[in-house]
Amino acid sequence: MLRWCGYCQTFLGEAPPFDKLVITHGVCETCAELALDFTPQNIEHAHTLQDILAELSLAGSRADMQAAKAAIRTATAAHMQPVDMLLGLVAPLLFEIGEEWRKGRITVATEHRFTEFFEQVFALLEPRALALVGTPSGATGQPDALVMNAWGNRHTLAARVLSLWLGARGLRTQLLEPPPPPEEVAAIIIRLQPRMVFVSVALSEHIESVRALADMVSSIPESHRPRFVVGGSAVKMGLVPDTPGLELVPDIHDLNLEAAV
Amino acid sequence: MLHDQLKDATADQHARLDALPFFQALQAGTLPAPAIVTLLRGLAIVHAVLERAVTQSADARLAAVASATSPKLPLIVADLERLDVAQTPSITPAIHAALDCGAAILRRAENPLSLLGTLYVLEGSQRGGDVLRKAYAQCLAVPADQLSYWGCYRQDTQARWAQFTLSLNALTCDEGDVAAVTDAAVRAFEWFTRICSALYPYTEQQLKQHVTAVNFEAGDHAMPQAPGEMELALRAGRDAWDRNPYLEMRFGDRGRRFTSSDSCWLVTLIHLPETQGVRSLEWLRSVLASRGISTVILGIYLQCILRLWMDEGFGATASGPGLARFLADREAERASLGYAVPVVERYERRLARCSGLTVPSAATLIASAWVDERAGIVGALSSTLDWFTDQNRFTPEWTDIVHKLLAELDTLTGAVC
Repeated sequence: MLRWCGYCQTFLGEAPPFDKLVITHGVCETCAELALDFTPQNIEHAHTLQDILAELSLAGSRADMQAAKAAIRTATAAHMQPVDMLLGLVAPLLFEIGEEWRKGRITVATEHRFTEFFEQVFALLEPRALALVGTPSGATGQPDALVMNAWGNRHTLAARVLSLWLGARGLRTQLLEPPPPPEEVAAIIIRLQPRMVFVSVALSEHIESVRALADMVSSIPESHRPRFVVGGSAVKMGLVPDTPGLELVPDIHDLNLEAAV
Repeated sequence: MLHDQLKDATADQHARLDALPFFQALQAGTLPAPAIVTLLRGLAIVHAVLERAVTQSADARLAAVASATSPKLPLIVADLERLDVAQTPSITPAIHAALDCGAAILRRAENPLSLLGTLYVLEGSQRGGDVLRKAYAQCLAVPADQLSYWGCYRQDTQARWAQFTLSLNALTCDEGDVAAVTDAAVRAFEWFTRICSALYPYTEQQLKQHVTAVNFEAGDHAMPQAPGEMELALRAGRDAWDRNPYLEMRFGDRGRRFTSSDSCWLVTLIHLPETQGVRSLEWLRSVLASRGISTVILGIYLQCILRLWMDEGFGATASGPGLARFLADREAERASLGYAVPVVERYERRLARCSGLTVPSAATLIASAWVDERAGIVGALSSTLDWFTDQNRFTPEWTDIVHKLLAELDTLTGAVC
């Protein structure tokens, strides 16, 4: 389920079951402090979001960029931020496409075409998201966070969306795409000393390389050692075993980012 | 003319590809065998994607040009089998590049003319193949006539190329069409440059068992790397395949390849903790059951793997807790749904007596699909039943018994509930 704030239309994260793309509403902390109550408009807004999700899905199945643009216009009119559209609509749809393949409803070719389509949607939304953040992630200064795919995970969209989302939350991020060899990443971590390293894993076996990287930087004093946050579809589906030194996070919204800023 | 435009547009990339160390080592007779074997595996990935996309396209112009070519995938598969290199590790960066190339072909297949560009590059590569075949054979220390892919048209090479370019030039193309074809051809050269750059030189660390060595359509998933584990997985896969004639009857060679790759992946699950092992198996269960492979078959795979694993003395390294738990869970699931073995066996006998085509263990497979559907895998039953009740395949007597089996299973469930 996808949770959105009923008042400010910020994406709040996901809730189990992760494979059900149903929009539900909650209240973000800021709006909760204002002690707002749910209104009929909130319910109507939930329907609007569900409609946008359906429109985007249909646009993807037809590779119809004009329809996608129309859905984005509707979302913008509903006061949704570009980065929330990416994380709260596009990313779940990509997960859903993987599920459709698992269920034998679409072919690999269709899955690839969907991905290509959402790459174009990303290209459309990325500049808008960056414009709102102010400066491109990691453009200046030392990064608070490194974002990368696990070696072997070639689905790059999730890491790019995450990088934008972290930027929107005030973190200076640096995206390592494609990920350099592990020794090189370890050297980057030691040199730049980010507070967090985010790694996206699509398959359970990808975790081995991340664990190896975490081992490589274990010589850094604990006070300066980054947190290794691991997410992605394999974590969401519970396929990755608990691993010492790695934080498995099915939903990025559950993570306390304050320490990293 | 389109052919000339393609030649001009790709000249630089072609020259860059030819100048790579890979081809220098090939001509010098010093190219190591893993580089050649991995190239064949990479080509299998690319040809499989391209040839399938071409076959599925309804575009008349593409079909006209494609008719001047012959499929290359069977030749590559035959070469790999003759070379007997199943255990030879792959140079993984090159395989990843080939997989990316395949994905790019798929993504652009919406425009059929983009397939034409890739086809042009691959078909053109056959021209030099006659000379290269001898060089590849020398590097592999095998007779040149053992290799069928490179220079596959043999003495007809020039005539086939002339026919191909003629069919290209006969196409009616506007500027946009030409741009789509040439762009795809340039990209294809770029992909092959990436693949061949990764193939040579390479490091020992890049040599790994990759799933595409056993199934070029399997994509990219975990493979057993410890000595003996991959061989065990392939043997277990063969055992499971032999015990399920239905797989051969329905899925043929493609099914055999997926049996091998799935079996390899299943062996890697032995090393996982119980919870993750079970979740991974539940995931695969839903993938297979949705495609007409009911869970009883997965169970046979797992039994074959566990038996060999223990018999061969691997049990000391890991015991596969997830596999054992998954099997136990399925037994409990069948019992909870009122699955009655004697009933299924009775139908097994009835189906075996039918005239016309019969399938061993058909009642068990159908009943298993029925369990899968009841367990929440939507479409599991229909994906099995569609095949088992196809009137072009089976007699009316057979399909009638199949429907009666299902009705009786439903009745039993009612009794349990």
